[in-house]
Amino acid sequence: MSKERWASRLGLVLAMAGNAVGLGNFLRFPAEAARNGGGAFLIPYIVALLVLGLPLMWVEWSMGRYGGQFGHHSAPGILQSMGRSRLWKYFGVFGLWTNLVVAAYYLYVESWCLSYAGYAIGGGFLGMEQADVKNFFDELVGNKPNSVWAISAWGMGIFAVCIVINVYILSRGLAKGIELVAKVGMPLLILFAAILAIRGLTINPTTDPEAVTSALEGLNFVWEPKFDSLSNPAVWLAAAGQIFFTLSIGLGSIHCYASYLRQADDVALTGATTAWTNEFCEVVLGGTILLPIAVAYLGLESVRGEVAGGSGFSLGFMVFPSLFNKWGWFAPVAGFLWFGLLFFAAITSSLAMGQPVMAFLQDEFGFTRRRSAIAFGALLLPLAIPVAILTDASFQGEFNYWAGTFALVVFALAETILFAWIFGMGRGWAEIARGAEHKVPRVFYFVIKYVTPLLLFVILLLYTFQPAGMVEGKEKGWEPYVESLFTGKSPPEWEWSGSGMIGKLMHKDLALPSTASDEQREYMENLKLARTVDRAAMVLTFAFFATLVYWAWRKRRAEGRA
Amino acid sequence: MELSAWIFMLAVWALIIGMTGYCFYKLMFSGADLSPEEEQAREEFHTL
Repeated sequence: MSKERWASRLGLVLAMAGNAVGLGNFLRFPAEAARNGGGAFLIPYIVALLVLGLPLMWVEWSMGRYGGQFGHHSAPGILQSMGRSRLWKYFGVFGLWTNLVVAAYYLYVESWCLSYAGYAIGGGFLGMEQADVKNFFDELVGNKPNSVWAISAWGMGIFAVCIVINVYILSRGLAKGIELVAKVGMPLLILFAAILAIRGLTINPTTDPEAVTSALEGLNFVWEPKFDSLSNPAVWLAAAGQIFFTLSIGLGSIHCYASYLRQADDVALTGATTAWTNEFCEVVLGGTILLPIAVAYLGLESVRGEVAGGSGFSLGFMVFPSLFNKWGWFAPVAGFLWFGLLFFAAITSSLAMGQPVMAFLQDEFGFTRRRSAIAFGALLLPLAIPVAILTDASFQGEFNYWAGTFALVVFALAETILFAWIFGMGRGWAEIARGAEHKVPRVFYFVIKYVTPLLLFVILLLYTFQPAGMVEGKEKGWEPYVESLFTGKSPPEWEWSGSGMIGKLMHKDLALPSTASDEQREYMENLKLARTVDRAAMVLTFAFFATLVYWAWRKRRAEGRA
Repeated sequence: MELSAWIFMLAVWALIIGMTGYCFYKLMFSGADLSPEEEQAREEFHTL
């Protein structure tokens, strides 16, 4: 049984915050805010934090600490310790499976950050225009037009280096590995972000001839409140989704980290500190870098087009290095700071994905720390290799959707029902309150019992049955259907959206226009085949973990530990 | 930048920075002792 502990509360909070603070804080949040009502987006966002984010944080921290007292440090054991049915441990498989599958592509993106940071500080991006940076990215990942293969030797090499770095840190354990990286990485991340934000906000056409407008114009783009957006249910769904994914809820990593607490530790305060630290990094820092700098040099209309899909990824990776070139001698440093902070955001999250799998192997099969870290790396390879050699629309995109989005909501809903309704809200509330210096306001008792599960159920429903809702050639989702309820206007004909679960299953997102060339058609067919193989791989991985869980509990019963 | 944007941004920043600062203050100065295991882990950490 593992006897590992955190070395300090500060280290634990930084590790937990590092788990939550990821690439989405800096690339996704500003784009989502700008396209969903600006400052007004923060109203549903804060509401979602209060009824979804914070309650789920407390639930997962309490569950982890509760399971830890029985020697469980991963989701199967933690869930089983709270529910009477033997099936709960199989729900806990999500807490292993999602971590492994998400880590397979997340580590790949992490390796891009490492490559970019190294290339930037070496002055590699100096003199590059936007098209050159795009070419650099395509070379790094091996992208070729109309090909499902995307092979790049040096991209794969750096990916391998990243996996080795993660495995090495994980093998050093909680205090000397994960906690040390968080204690160094999180302050550096905040420092790097603060330097870039301050430099970015001082961009002004009067002092910088390359700027087309002031950076404050970009800040205005993020923050100007458009109150009419609040009547759109899609905006509320986007805010709930952003809160859900930014806090790394539903992965099983929070349970794992919290399981190393002692029983009298304060989960109410440490959970809240983690959540608010993440919000600081996301809203205050994340909202102040990407769009202000981009708008200052590219203009509002150009940036509006870039972030229309709700992601700042292409701005961050394919445009930013060329914009930093306008900063003269500071350009290589700025590039290093930007990709360095993204790397720290990524590695502190990817380490949190490795620990639950390791903890499971240690608890159930007596693996040592080093052996379990190597096993995590080995389990990662069959999923990571296809990610590295196929286009991001195949394995990477599918992993991101099924494991990194859909499964998180399923797992969060299951754990909330377990905590509030099976384990019982009375006992659950006592768990949250145990050791707490400040009691959590009583209103959260009812929020956790009724509001959070209901909201998660609605999110799951909306993600599953998502219509295209085509209006004038644009996909509007549920919006025209909700609108028709109030205005009496007839809604568009029902068609599954490629972003919803059923539409994804039917490959609706791979539809081609009738004018597509034969080459494009062949590419789509190959992509569908790759996705089918990818789904089979995910099912097999889930079955593999479920079998391990079955085997582990058989072993437990035989040893009288069940 | 519009006045409404300033108001929204500063209000949200104040809430988030205030809550983060408050939580960290309570965390650092709550006075709860470390368990023997945590003390040991901390010692190991500092002798890296």
